Amino acid sequence: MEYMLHIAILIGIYSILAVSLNLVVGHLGLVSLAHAVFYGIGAYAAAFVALRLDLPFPCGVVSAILLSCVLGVLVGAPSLRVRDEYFVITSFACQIIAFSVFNNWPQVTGGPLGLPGIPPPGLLGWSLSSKWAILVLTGLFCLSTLLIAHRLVHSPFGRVLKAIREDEVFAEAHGKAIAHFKIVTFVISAGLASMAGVVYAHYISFIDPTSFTLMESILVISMLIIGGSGSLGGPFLGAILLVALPEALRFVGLPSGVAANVRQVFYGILLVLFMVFRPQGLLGQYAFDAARDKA
Amino acid sequence: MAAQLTANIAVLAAGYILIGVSFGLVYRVYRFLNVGHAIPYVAAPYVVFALQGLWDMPVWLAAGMALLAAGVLGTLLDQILFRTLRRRQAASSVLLMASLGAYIVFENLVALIFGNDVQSLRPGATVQSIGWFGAVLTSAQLVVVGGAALVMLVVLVTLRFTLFGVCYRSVACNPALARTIGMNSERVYLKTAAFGAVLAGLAGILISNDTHMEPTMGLQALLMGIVVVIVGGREELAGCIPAALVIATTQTLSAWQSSGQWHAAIAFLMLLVFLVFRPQGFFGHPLKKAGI
Amino acid sequence: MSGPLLKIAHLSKRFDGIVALSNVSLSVHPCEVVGLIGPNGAGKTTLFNAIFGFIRPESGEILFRDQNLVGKRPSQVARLGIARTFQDVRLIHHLTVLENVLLCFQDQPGERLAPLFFQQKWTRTVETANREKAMALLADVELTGHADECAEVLSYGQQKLLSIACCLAGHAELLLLDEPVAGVAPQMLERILGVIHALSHDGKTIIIIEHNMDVIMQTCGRIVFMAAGEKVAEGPPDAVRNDPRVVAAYLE
Repeated sequence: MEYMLHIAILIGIYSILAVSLNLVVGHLGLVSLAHAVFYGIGAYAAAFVALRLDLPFPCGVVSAILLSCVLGVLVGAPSLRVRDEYFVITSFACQIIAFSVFNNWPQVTGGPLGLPGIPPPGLLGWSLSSKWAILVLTGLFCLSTLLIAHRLVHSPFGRVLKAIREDEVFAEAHGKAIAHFKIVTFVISAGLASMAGVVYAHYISFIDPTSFTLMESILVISMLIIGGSGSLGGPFLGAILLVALPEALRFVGLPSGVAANVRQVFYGILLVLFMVFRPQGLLGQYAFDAARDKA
Repeated sequence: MAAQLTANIAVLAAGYILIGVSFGLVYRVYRFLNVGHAIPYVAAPYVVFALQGLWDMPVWLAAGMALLAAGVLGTLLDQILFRTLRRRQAASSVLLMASLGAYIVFENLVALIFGNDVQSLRPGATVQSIGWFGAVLTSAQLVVVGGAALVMLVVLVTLRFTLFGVCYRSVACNPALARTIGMNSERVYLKTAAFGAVLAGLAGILISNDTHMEPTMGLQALLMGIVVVIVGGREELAGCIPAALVIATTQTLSAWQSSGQWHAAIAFLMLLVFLVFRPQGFFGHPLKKAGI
Repeated sequence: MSGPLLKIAHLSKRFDGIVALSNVSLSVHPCEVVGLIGPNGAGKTTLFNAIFGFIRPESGEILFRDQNLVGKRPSQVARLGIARTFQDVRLIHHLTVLENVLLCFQDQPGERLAPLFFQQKWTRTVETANREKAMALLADVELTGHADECAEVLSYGQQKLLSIACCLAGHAELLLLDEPVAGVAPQMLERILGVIHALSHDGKTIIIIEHNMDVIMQTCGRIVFMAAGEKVAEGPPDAVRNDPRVVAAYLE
């Protein structure tokens, strides 16, 4: 039972990441490999606030979101100047730089040794230390992410995003300030993603840079690709599949040394198969659009 | 001191040039980030390792076979995966993610066969040190520098003076137009994939020979290749040289002053700055953002 | 209103050595319908792009109601009250016909975060009102039957009508229409012309780029002829049509 709760919490965490990334990838149409940056910022901010500043949990949440939003501006800014196909590159450049900072700043992040001993989240006097409590917290964060994303997408704002995705020139010619919409989307995506980091930090109680690498960003975008971007169910489904299926492999009885590698092989094969046979994912509305490459 | 620093910079830059040229060669034609380029880079040194370990093959023969294997792998990847997607006119992001999937599969297969640990290409062999104007270089490092110069020369000559070079440059510049005038662009893709893969394999062998090898080295190397090509200018492969030198110099000097931990951040900060403010790199024509 | 609505003075633009616009000056008065004609490559669309801010001229000014447009972003120009269509019809194919028009309304609270999350009632009210206005605009171009279909299923001529409807959503005073009837069937041509005439009647100021001389003669009060980036001739339709320079330029 504890194990199932653990899986459910992980699914919740990754759903937050996938749904928030979907705003940029699915709705703006930009491939971003920087999402683990916000995951990490959320985690490190929450840990720092709890451990070094000794402030209550809500302060950690607020600072995580704020810091992540600021970084969202930095990560999103290049999209205003570079062609879409190069945005991938700026995004993973940001990711690698952020990882370097996580890894090489021991005073704040603990460096490669990370930050151990993060206390469980405390809310209104209760300490949420049981898995059930964490699951409820994760569920709440997940629900708010879904609600915010849903409201954003099914609105005039979301309509402008769809327009920008397909034809920026048309949108600009009809009075939409592209830069504003892009940056706001990045900021919201970043802020939401940081909540996943906050949960992760308080749940696992230990964080280190290896949880927030380029491969982690790639994992999140794979969830979007497989589940289907552009819809709300897609990222959620992708998170379930890419968290649960590799865990299922545990029960096949592989020696632990090779398990991680086998899981990755399986995951790589999935990526290739989906790109060849179903690029829009299981529930997706859009595949990556070749027309944008020629813009 | 200065001589040693210069030597270190030269070796580091040479490594970057080796990777950059092979990557840039393929990138100009593919127009997407082919993460699969790291596959021959990783495959070749591991083939040499296996051949030496299993049959005690002399290094030149093992290297030759490894380069052949690298070329075959690169060609297969192109023909089986990328050509299928090309025919569907898949977006560059689709090709990117597919190549990423292929690379992940390959890297982990290598890890399953050879283990995740760091290996050395010639375990126990003594490394020759050579003194040069006050700097100390190993023979492996000299080979890297020499190899980089040779590869750069071969590639530039091929692209400038051979028929393949002409076809290559046409397809790289304007694939649709090249097809209209009767050029077989698919054959260019095939040959470029093979040539690029062999060069990647060579880079992998030479660099692993100097340092070490592990299954995850492909992605690290590829990322540096991307930095060098973008900073140097995608259009002109010779741009890899100043780009590699600038990056290597900055990294070496900063490592000398503080420590080497910011190597990656420096390179990628440079990449970011160039992409945002000078996307055409050192050489290359100004690129326009989407317009009308 | 006394002076011209749009005043272009000494506009010049080069692209890598090719002269796209050379010292072009033009004034357009309110309620005028001006035709912009000339061979391909004359700089007509470039002029539209310059007015709208998609390209930046090297010299000259563009005044719209005394506001200098040079240096402004296209979205800012649009918000001042200018709208345009494109030679290659641009629309958002993934949105429905109605949504395309809805997109183009200005000052939508639902496009801003604060109203979207904290003033939902107001957002909904404005959206409903916009829907009605959008349906009315679609009625003007006879596309109400397709309101909920994706824009990509429309025929070419219907897409051109839709793009005109989109221009009107933004309450633009000045419309720049780039080849509004090029490539459409005769029946559709009449429909589009009818829409343009109605707009002119309503007091909109229109500049039309067209190659179809009949359409130009019927719709425009004044014609401007451009060739090789320069304004060659300007005046009432008959005068320009018979101008020897115009005839020579077409025959060259």
